[in-house]
Amino acid sequence: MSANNLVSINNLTVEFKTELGSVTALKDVSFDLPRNCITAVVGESGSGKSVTSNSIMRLLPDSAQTSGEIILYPQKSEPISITSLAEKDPRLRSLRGGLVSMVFQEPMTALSPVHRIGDQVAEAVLCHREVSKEAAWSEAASMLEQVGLTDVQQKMRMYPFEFSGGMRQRVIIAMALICHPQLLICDEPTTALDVTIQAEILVLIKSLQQKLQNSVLFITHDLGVVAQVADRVVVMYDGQVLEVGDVKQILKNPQHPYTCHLLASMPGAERRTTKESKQKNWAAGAALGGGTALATAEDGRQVREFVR
Amino acid sequence: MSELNELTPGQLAWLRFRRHKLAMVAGGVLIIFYLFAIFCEFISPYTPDQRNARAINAPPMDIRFFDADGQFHPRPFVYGWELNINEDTWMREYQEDTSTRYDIQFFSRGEPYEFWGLIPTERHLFTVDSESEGYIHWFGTDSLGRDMFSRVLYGARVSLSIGILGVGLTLFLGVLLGGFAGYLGGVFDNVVQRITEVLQSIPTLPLWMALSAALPAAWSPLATYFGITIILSLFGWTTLARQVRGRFLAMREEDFVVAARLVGANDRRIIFRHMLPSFVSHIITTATLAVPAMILGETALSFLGIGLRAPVVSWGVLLQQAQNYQVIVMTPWLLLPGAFIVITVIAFNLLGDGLRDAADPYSSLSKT
Amino acid sequence: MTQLLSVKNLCKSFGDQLIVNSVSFDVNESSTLGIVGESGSGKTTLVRSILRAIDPDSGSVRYNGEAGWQNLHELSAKELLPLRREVQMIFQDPFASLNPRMTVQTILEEPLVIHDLGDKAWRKQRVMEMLEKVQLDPSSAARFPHAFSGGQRQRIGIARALILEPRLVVCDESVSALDVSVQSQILDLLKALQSELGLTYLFVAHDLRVVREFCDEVLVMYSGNVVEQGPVEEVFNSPDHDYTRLLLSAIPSPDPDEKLDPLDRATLNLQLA
Ligand SMILES: Nc1ncnc2c1ncn2[C@@H]1O[C@H](COP(=O)(O)OP(=O)(O)OP(=O)(O)O)[C@@H](O)[C@H]1O
Ligand SMILES: Nc1ncnc2c1ncn2[C@@H]1O[C@H](COP(=O)(O)OP(=O)(O)OP(=O)(O)O)[C@@H](O)[C@H]1O
Ligand SMILES: [Mg+2]
Ligand SMILES: [Mg+2]
Repeated sequence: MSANNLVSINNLTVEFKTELGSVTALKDVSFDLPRNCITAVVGESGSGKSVTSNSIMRLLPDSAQTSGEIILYPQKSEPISITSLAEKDPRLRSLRGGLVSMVFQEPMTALSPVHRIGDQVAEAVLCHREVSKEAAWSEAASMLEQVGLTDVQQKMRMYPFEFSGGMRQRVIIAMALICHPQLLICDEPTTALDVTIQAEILVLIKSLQQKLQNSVLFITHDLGVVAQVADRVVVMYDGQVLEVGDVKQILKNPQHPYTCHLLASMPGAERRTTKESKQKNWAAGAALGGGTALATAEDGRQVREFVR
Repeated sequence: MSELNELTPGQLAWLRFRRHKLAMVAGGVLIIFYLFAIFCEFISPYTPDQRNARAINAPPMDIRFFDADGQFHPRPFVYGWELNINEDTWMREYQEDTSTRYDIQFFSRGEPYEFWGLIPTERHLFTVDSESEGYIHWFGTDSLGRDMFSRVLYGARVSLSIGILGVGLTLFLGVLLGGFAGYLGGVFDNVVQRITEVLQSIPTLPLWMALSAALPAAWSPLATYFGITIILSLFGWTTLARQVRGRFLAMREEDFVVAARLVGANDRRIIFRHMLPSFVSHIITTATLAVPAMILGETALSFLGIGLRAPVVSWGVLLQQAQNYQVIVMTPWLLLPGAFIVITVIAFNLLGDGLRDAADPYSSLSKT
Repeated sequence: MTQLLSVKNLCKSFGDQLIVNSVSFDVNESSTLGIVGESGSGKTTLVRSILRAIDPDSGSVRYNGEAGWQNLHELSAKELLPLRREVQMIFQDPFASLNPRMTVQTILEEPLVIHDLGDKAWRKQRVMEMLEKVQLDPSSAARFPHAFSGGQRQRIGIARALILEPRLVVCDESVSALDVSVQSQILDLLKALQSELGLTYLFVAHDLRVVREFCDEVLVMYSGNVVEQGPVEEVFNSPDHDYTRLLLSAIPSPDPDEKLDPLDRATLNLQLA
């Protein structure tokens, strides 16, 4: 029984059946999201991170075939087996809006292009709480301020296409945070933000997490971000979970070769020292006709071998 | 996997379409109807104006293989009618005259006609021997003794083609005007917008009536036919143009359109390759739903006597004869064109459903 | 070194808001200029107006292409076409910038078709090559964009920009959705192309570590203005402007023991000159 876990994912396998044959996006994925904890998911691009989070929200397209189980243990009610909920089950609605909320990877598709920003955020409040329109609007305004927008009253009257990438992203983060979910899923929430605002958002997510004692599933490629916000880390590769562990253990003492490879490919400190040699490599590679890319692709292949 | 990989988007669309059984059936029905319409002179045993004085208001005939004695004949045949006047009601009553069988002959000589007004010939798909006394009226005859089956076929040509032609014109105007208005914006957009507003604010039926009444009665049937088509499509395009414009306006700002512009795509390519395709499913649905609207429009006008007029034969013109109560009671087969209209309309709607799904790459094949 | 691009006093406002305020810079051939800055500071607007995806209010963008120096904003659509082949852009949003109704094959082939290069078989071959270069499975060419992950789509965008073998590539956040391993492979690819073909990059990015590693020069933008400009190492090692200091202090360290502690905005002088 999971007194300590908010969500447990057991043997989740997801296969997309398309007219071009089938693609297995997740193979037997199992991990838990403990209560009151920020879990980061890192891994190769295309390794199934977004598919995992979309499965928790039951947002996969019809072409997806799922097996395995995702169980949510809400604070005050009965456990919900997310994978076996019927499409019309009222619990699914309460799950999507109230218990779990999500910051999507694609900011534009999560916002309606034809409604004002303010209306969209206020709508998110109205959907979950019985408050007046004015109250919802002012709550929306204060949330947008918290995610670092300035001139909020004016910005709330603008349309999404008038916003920069980062501003859209912050609107979505505000919409997700505003209904105080028990589980907050963030799919690359800060990649479109500059580092100063990223820092502010990370602090905001972390402090809200501590205040609400909820759980956060945080997908990112930035290992610096992982180090700063996460308590636990899940490493994924090619639809599988390679390694799960405490943030310090994963970043300082990785067990799996792929994790080592990831840490080694990080731009920054370790590589800066070797920048000169790297540049020589590039030049040499160019002489061979784009050879360096191949050399690193070779690395990738080796990693792949490791995984098998 | 590899096999499926080879499929073109068109083939994939066909795969998706095939899953819609009803749409397949509807498509088949419509193909048959349109084939009938195209080859109506050949398929019909008589010309539409040919009268048979011996069969006025005759009911539909049975095509038989077994004669009155129950004997089987490999070649289908019909019996003629025997006319009796009912002494009490003074009404015509037809009874089958089983004394002579009239064999149905295929590809035989009959009334001479010109196929598509071009090739003179006298072959028909089926007739009864024209030398003999016999006649074949599968759907009965009207009050002048004209063969209903032949008239329904000739009517199909006019009614079905008016649907296609009208919708073609509608689509052309709607997509072109709406598309350029949305894409170019500015003055052009403004002008188109105002025109659509004016056209949309006028109630359709009265205006149709006014315009068709204004068509000179002296016009040839062909000119009237085109006149009516234009009148019908003059109003259809506004809705479509508005939708297309709205979508284009929004899409013009979308990244993938900007991306296409930046690799050097010209306006035509952007409109036809990038913007319209995301609209195809909508256009197809609109078009397939608009065809029956056109057909019904033509029928309505002709039924009211202000659309096409005799000697042109259309389903609406045919139904005009069935306007009174007496017809419905005494000669219900004159309502048969109505049945064809209903079937056509339903078939177009079902087909539209299937096409919409087929044109949408996001409807997956695995869904049942 | 030859100059390739020269931007002078570029201004753009939306409504009464000045978004790009008189930005000027030069870029040398075969070099990489990084553009960093606050979210919403006008980086995308700036690079889009350089490419004429947006019409700027004033200023000039001069480009030294095959046909010599030309002001991009004075060319007619016809004169612009050959330049479109030399200048390419990789978009910030990998979801919105791929036509959802086209297969990857069609998307990648389109630039070749527009510029009338090669026959069908050659183009197909070329698409496969490009996919392989950006580490995607060539068999995925028949799929639609929605069947790809964020990072995979971003690589499709990269392949589209590179397929014409341009001279200048504008990368707007082009590697941000990639895991660090694939990211370094893509950066290696870009670098290799640079040394091989002499490509020039305008590289908009938020990840300062990537900028530091990948760019030669950097331009720091803050609310529509360029506040600092110079060689990467110089700017990163001894920043002049307080906003640059703020940026550098906010880079999250990959060491969980080193807590993130950005400078306090209140203590900084973020006024524009
Ligand atoms: N609708 C779909 N149809 C077919 N395949 C899909 C679909 N959605 C995702 N996939 C495949 O599933 C795999 C996992 O995708 P997912 O989006 O979860 O990756 P990710 O880990 O989030 O990557 P990224 O970091 O690049 O966003 C990918 O290989 C992708 O091609
Ligand atoms: N079409 C538009 N109409 C009105 N305002 C716009 C429009 N496009 C951009 N803006 C405004 O211009 C400013 C700069 O936007 P831009 O997209 O250039 O920022 P950016 O530096 O690329 O930011 P990010 O890093 O978040 O992508 C923003 O304040 C935005 O609201
Ligand atoms: Mg993803
Ligand atoms: Mg931007």
